[in-house]
Amino acid sequence: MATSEQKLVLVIDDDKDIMEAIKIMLETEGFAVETALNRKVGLEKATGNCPDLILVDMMMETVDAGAKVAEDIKNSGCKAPILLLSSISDATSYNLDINAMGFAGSIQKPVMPSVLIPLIKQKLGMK
Amino acid sequence: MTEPVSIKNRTINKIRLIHQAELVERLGWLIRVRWLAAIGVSSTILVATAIFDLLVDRNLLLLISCAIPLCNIVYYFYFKWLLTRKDLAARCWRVAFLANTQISVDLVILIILIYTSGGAENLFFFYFIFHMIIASILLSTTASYLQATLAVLLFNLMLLFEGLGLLPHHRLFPFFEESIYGHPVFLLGLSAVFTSTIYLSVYMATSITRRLRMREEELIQLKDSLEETNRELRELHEYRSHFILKVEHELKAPLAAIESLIAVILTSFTETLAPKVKELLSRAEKRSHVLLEMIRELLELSRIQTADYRFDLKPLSLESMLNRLLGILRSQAEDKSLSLELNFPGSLPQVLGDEKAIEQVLMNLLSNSLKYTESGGVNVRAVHEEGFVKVTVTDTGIGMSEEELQMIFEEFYRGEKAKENYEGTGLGLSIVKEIVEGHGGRIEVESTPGKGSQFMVWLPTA
Repeated sequence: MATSEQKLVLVIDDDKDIMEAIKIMLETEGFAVETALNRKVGLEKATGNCPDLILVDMMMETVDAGAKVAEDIKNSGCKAPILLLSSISDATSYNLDINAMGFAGSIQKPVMPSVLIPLIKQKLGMK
Repeated sequence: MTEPVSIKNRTINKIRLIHQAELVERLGWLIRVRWLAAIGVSSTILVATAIFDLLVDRNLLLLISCAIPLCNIVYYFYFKWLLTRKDLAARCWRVAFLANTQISVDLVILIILIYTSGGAENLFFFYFIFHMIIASILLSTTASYLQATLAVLLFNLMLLFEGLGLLPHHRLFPFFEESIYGHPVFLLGLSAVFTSTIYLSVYMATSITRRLRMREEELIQLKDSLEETNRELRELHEYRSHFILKVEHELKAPLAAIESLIAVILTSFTETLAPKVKELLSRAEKRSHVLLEMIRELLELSRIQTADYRFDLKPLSLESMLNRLLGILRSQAEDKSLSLELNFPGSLPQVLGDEKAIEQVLMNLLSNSLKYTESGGVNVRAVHEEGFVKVTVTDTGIGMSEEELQMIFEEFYRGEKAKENYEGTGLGLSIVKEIVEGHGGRIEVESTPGKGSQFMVWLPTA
């Protein structure tokens, strides 16, 4: 459970290994992490307890599952910034406009701590 | 093998529909032409009787010719009503009936006009040929011959009844003696010429029409099969593109996970790792990164190499693109203490290219030069050269032998020195060559081992 000082990050990805890697990266940096392996659980967790930030994989059950779950979360009233977790080549191959979908930004896979942590801290206004 | 049969059936139905549509269109045309014919007949009667000394009853002829527009009014409204009918089968039958009726009635009116204006004396019997041609175009071959038979029957009956005195003869020319127009040999000759002319006209016109219809059917069938093939090819292409994307995603996902997990070990658990373990993991991370790059490049190469791949061509400024790319690579050059220079000796026109692809070409050449150079630097020069912009990337790197230069653009090929000391996929230059040639440009390379290489790319101007 997140303590009052800890920032809560929700990771929605159907790749267990990537999720585990991100979880450890974030926990090492002192974040509390919630995980969801699919759209449905992700939406439930986001609406049940709106986290400080959400990471969503684009290609899960379908090509644009990430965009759909992001839209559902926004509609549910959770205002947390949502970062897209995918490779840029996926997005361009499927002609997806990340900004138009309302994502606060994107992180390329493979996820490197040197890229992930500064971006999350920046989005959360942390030093 | 049900597919080709269904395509054939579809084509046959289509041909039938096209013929019906054509018949409807020509029927409308025939009605429009008949208005002109009615005016023509009346005018001819008026002018001929006014100019020449004819023995005909002008008023009677005008009265008979009135039947033409009167019938046409009926046809016109019936035709309009037919067009509103939704029942295609009934409409089809009625259209054919209307076409037959129009021609038959025309033949009857024409024979009455001819009979009342001289009979055998009247040379307007040639006009039957027009109707035979129209019948051959509009109707089936059988119906055309039936119409021909009706024309032959009407004309011969007129000649016979006149000749036998069963019908009174209406004289036309004062100079035409009864001994001539009533002579059995003249009448027999006229009958034979008329009959053969009518049947020959129908035979020729229906033959031509049949051939034209056959050609039309062949063309429609060909068009249909081409459309079908085109659709299949499009589906195949879509399937292939989708498959490549899926393969790309499926191959990249586990590698991305491996890299991410190694990255976690190297950062979050770094204190618990022995130096040798750390080194081996770093090497594993580098190799998996190369593999990831290779998959991306291999699939990109396969995409570009497809026959129907199209670049999104737009006028581009290489000047601003090169400035931007050098800005990105400057820190990399500084890390290795290399110079990185850009020269534009003259004004540079825009090139016609796919922005992303051209950027990839230049980025690839520049980062290659920086990668394989340990001292000295990289120089980029762009000049205008007869319809092309020539970009030259010169480095003072490891260089290549003559044998290596022959192979450098082949997939997966890497020079000996490059393979020993640097990570790479061996696909970058193959992609560069495909893109440059796909733009109608060309690429050349010169190199001296140990001294450096020079890549020259010509891209067509906008």
